[in-house]
Amino acid sequence: MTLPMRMVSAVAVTAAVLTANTVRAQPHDYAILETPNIPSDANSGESIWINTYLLSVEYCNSTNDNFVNHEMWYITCTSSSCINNGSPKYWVEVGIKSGATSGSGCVYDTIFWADSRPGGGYNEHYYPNVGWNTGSPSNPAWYDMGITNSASCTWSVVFGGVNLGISTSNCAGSGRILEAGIEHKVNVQEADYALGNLTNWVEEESPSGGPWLDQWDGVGNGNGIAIQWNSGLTPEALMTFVSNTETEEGLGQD
Amino acid sequence: MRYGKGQHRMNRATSVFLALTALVVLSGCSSSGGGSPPEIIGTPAARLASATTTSSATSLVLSTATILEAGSSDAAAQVALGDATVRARLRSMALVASSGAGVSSPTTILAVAASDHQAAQTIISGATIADHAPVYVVEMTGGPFTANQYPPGGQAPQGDVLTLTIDAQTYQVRDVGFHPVAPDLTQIGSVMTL
Repeated sequence: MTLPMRMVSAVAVTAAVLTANTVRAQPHDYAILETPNIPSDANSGESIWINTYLLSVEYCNSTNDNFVNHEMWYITCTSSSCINNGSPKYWVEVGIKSGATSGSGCVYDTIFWADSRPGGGYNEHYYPNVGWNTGSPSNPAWYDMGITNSASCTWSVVFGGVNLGISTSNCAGSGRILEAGIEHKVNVQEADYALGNLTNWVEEESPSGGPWLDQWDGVGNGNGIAIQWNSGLTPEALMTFVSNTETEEGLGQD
Repeated sequence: MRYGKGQHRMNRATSVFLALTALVVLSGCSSSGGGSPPEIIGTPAARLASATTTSSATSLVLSTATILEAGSSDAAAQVALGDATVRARLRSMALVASSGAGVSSPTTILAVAASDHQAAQTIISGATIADHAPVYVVEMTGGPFTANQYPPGGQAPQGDVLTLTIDAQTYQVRDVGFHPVAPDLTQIGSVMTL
């Protein structure tokens, strides 16, 4: 495993700094846990416990919109009408962000949720007024994040027992994908970090109020981790199972 | 400006990350144990109760997030929008956001004051937000505006209209919206051009 050396070499890649005009077109890096697209699975929601020890970007300003998120996504439709060039069009997400928001503001360790829904556009919601504590690898602070169907075409979003909001008029199609982990947007090569854990990933079957299953299908037993390295820069991300029901993930870029 | 909760964590970030790397080396990226059928565990409440008392290794304790300030309705924002200084500040924030979203010169920049964040967001995004602080809503046209985050395998969302919902007291951006059609700000209050 040569990751530490590659981290060192990353310092030499500062020439890859890109301009602000192209930032939104840049790919993102991910270290995630994800389910395959299984028809009629997890139709009514998902939940996971998250421990976030570190989320940090070195600089955030009007021309540098790096960010790191530790979060969970719920893709609400995977049928052909909900896919654009291979990309999901509709989802709900919840988590914690440090760095740039889509409004070019800068936040740190801030809880957020967002949704993209048919006809409704894409909206991000931030909660600087909701407090939480960082954990550590040896003393985790676990928070339950949930996205669950609460009424017709309605999804409730919860973080740590706080009802953050409700995604409405968000009628899902068929098929779901459940994902959680680290998202990293690289505009400028700088010192960005994320460290945390996930556990207790569960899914709710249909209909709403249906049984919760103590797993995400296809996740666990060494399966379900995906590292997506798209930026072309050289940050380092890792995710590993520390048990069948717990992951540890990190991202480092110098 | 550096961002992160505490410089001390920034300083030890590298060593922590290297420790994580070592952990992966030791584990060989493998998991332990064999598979078992999924367990049906009933309601979320029952699931949480069982999860806090049982674990394969150690007991897991669930933490609770805290609402620090829920906000309250206040008509002062509507009055403040008549202040040229406030409008200039909002316009500056709008132009930064618009530029960051790929549009350096939006066609229009409108603003409205709302006494209740939740009521405003119901009109702007359709979402129900658990907050009632006074806010300003700024709406820009002339897109496509492009968002900054998206799921794995996704594409950056775009919209012809960009909205910012800004806390009237702190000027923190609370909501960002990318819309196919401009939300009707007149449903919130008196609309002003910035």
